[in-house]
Amino acid sequence: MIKFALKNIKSKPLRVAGTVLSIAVVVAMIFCMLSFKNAVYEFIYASETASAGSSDIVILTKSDSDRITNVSAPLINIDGIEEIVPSMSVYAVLNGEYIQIRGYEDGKTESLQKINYIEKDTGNMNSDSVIISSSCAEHFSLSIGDRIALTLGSNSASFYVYGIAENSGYFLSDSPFQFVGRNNQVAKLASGTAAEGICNAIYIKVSPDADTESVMESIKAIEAYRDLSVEIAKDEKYIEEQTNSLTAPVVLSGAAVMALGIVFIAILFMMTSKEKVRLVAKYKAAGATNRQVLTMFVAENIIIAALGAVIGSLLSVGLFVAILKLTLSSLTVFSVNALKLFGAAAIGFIVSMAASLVPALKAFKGTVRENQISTERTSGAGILIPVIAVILTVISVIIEFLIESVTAVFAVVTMALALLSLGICVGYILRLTGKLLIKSSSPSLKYASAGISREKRFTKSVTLLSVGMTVSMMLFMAWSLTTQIFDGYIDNFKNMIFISNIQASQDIDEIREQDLVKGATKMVWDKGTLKTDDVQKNINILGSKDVLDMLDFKYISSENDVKAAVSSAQPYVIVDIAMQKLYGVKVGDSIKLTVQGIEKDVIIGGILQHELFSGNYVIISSEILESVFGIKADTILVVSSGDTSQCANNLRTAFSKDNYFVVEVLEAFKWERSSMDAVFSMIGTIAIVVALFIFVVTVTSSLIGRSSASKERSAMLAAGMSKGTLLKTELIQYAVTALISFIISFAVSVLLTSSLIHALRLFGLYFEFMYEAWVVAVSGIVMAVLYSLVPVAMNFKKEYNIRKL
Amino acid sequence: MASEVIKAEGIKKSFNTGDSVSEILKGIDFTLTEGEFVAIVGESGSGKSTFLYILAGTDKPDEGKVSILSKDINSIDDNELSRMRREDFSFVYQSDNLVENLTVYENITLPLVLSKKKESDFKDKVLKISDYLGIDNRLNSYPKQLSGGEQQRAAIARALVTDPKVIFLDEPTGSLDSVRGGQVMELLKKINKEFKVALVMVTHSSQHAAYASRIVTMEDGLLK
Repeated sequence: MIKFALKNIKSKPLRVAGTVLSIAVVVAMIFCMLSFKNAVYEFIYASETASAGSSDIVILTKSDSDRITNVSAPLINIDGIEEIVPSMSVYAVLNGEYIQIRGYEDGKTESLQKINYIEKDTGNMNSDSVIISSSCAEHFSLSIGDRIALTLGSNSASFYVYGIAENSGYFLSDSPFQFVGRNNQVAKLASGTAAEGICNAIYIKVSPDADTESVMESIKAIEAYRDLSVEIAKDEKYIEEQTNSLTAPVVLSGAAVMALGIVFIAILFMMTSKEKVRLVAKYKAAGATNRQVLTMFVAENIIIAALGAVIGSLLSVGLFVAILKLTLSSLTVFSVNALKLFGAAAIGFIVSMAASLVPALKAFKGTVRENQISTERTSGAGILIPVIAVILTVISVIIEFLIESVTAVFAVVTMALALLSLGICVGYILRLTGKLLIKSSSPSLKYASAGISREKRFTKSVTLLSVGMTVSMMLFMAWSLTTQIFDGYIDNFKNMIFISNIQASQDIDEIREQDLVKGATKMVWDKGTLKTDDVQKNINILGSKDVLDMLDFKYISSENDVKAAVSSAQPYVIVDIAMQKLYGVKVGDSIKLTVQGIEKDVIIGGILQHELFSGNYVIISSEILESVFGIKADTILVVSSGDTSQCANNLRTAFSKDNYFVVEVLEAFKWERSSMDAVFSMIGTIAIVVALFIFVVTVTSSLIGRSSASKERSAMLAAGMSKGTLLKTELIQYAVTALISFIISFAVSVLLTSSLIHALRLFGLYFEFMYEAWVVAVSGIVMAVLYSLVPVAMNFKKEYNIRKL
Repeated sequence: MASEVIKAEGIKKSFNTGDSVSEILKGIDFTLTEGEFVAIVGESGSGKSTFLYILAGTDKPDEGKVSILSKDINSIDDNELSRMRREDFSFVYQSDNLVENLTVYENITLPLVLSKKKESDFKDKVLKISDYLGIDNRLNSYPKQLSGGEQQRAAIARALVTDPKVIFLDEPTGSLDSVRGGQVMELLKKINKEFKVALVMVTHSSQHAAYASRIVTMEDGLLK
């Protein structure tokens, strides 16, 4: 039977190639969807740990201007510490631009991160040596051996370029440009005199067998470190949350893509079901047993499915890594998860095998005669199944919108049911359209309609195209949502300036008096943790009541109540409506807030709404932070009334004697913005590639279905239809299929977007409804037009041949 | 006395025609003896082909029993029925008998290969039958490269190659012109005589039915 299986493969090389390609593409689609979140995680992890590297705990001064003078001695007796890496880091100026210089003790430069040198001096590092990145060298036109003078306020120090490294590790973000040197020289730049044993951060590596939490507790108990902040160096929960917030919309769409991939393969094999059933009849008539027929099908499809899975695996790795390197970072090493690759290939292989056996199993149910005439049996359920599917979808939508406690879960159910209903109903709609158009007097329209209303391959094609189109629309919508969410709140920062490294005694009014300064507040801008009875969440701390007047908040609680609460001596915090919707917190609830490792009970004093940090913020007054948490405001947030760059320059000039670090907020967030842009590009590229894959598989399967209907076309020609009319007939069939798919998909996309936004609550993200009709329309129209043109693009007319009859 | 090859008793079959159920076979009894050549004639839609398929076990009756070589073909399992198709009886349809991606030789030998017989055991026989049927020069061709008459002769060769006791033929000349149709009928008569194989043929042509040793007519769901 294997011989016959090979004959079957050899006899239809194009169809086999199309099937193998489609399986490979589906495998790659599934792999991309399984893997992209992990790639984003790895990318954010590399970014977030650029300075902490391989350390586990970091001890930091609470103010930029503070120094740690008692570096190692208090830590020596703590069990579980493997290595202590003190570091002195300051912002300095080179050629009028801010850079950050980070010093390490002799021999510890690469304790946290390996430096990948592109070029370096032949000798050893000296106290005035610095290593810079290749992009920094290019920006400042520096080369090995060059001498540079860095200034910090009135201090200045000379350095020489010892090495130029790749933009990885310490230099991954490079925003501002990073200089890596020696502690004593950095201390000289900071204080005017070179000094050993001074730093402002201590990185600690914990022994593999020690418990990091216990070591942290021991460090916190050290009296000499009472005023220092002891934190986890790699906050994996924060990185996970960041990853979730960036990937959640596409992860949700990805589930649909994976389901679609499985449906694709199944329908791909069903396309030629009629022909296969007839083939079974011929073998059965010649005396083949069911087992022999099954053996032939298994042998034939093992080869096809295995080829598809193997090529799909290669395509997955090549394509995915290429996308990551192009969009995220060419220097971050992304791991290809072998298990996920195997999983994707296994899904492709197993579904292909299962689907390929369906025609044989179907044929076994009928007699040889029935299989010979291959009358496709229509399900007895008829219209009942689509009606049930639509009713279930409507019920799910009602629950999703009316019962808030289950909104997110039912949003996922709605999405699944809506796609299922679409897949089930669209075939009926196409058939109905065909029946309506069949009365036309135009021969091409009449026979096109006869085809689409009677041939199952069109029902299968419209199902694939409409579900594929809808999933593609969802992917593009998810990409657009992700971009909008982050671009939206970044825009709020465009007229803001940070001043850090400030003196505690700095009078805020002196700042407010400067040219182009519209407002200024002394605040704590930090990350913290919010804890309720049920949830613990990383959150952004906006530590000043003045931010209420600096950003355009929508007041959910009354403005008076919010302002009264934040001005009260009680430990009130104001939270976003996202917290209320996601975790059910309300005004008056007591929650735990942790800032710089200090946990206190606070009370929710009001609810606001703002897209800032996707609603992931709390507002607390600087007075409460100082009195309850013991944390002093260390940053000044300035709002400019005009040109923000000019305003920043004015402030730098005015406070040049004080070594203040004045930077536009957008500049400070440059790396976050560029890394987010990279992630968006990656998600966008994946969306485009997957949409392209969906289209390729849809077209391939429709061509495979069409290849089994050559006799029908020959019959048309034999009956006197001209080649031109036949082409017109096929064009109409493809165009009507595309048009029906587009109209239905466009309508369903509104419901899916709304449910997608609700489903994001499962990932701790709350958003109001956003719908970009043009994104959906453009992606759908492009697919519909391309699909309509398939008969022309594939030059159908060329192979019209009456002899095929 | 010649032995009984096929015995059909009380064969009934109905079809759902949308609004109503049409009883096409109304309790037919039929017997075929060894070496007999029976032609079943009747008007289009009279049910003669349906009856033939039921006799050959490629369709099932609603009621009644069909025995071939004393075996009730509707109660035996798939393996046994398949074995009988390969060894005891075979079928020739009006057209579309051959597997398109197999050569004529591979099509003819298909039942033998399915029976796991060695090529050395049957090659000479296949060549002899092909020569006899005049398709020996087309053995390496694919069905699409053959004329309609050649395709039918290849189908007959496949039916003969297993030395069956009976061959069922459904309008074997239906897709051929009158000259080629006549040639095929001559051939069938020759095969019937020389190979002693029983034939049951459905035809709408009284001219072709005349080649048979017995003619039965399907009328009102019964054989007359």
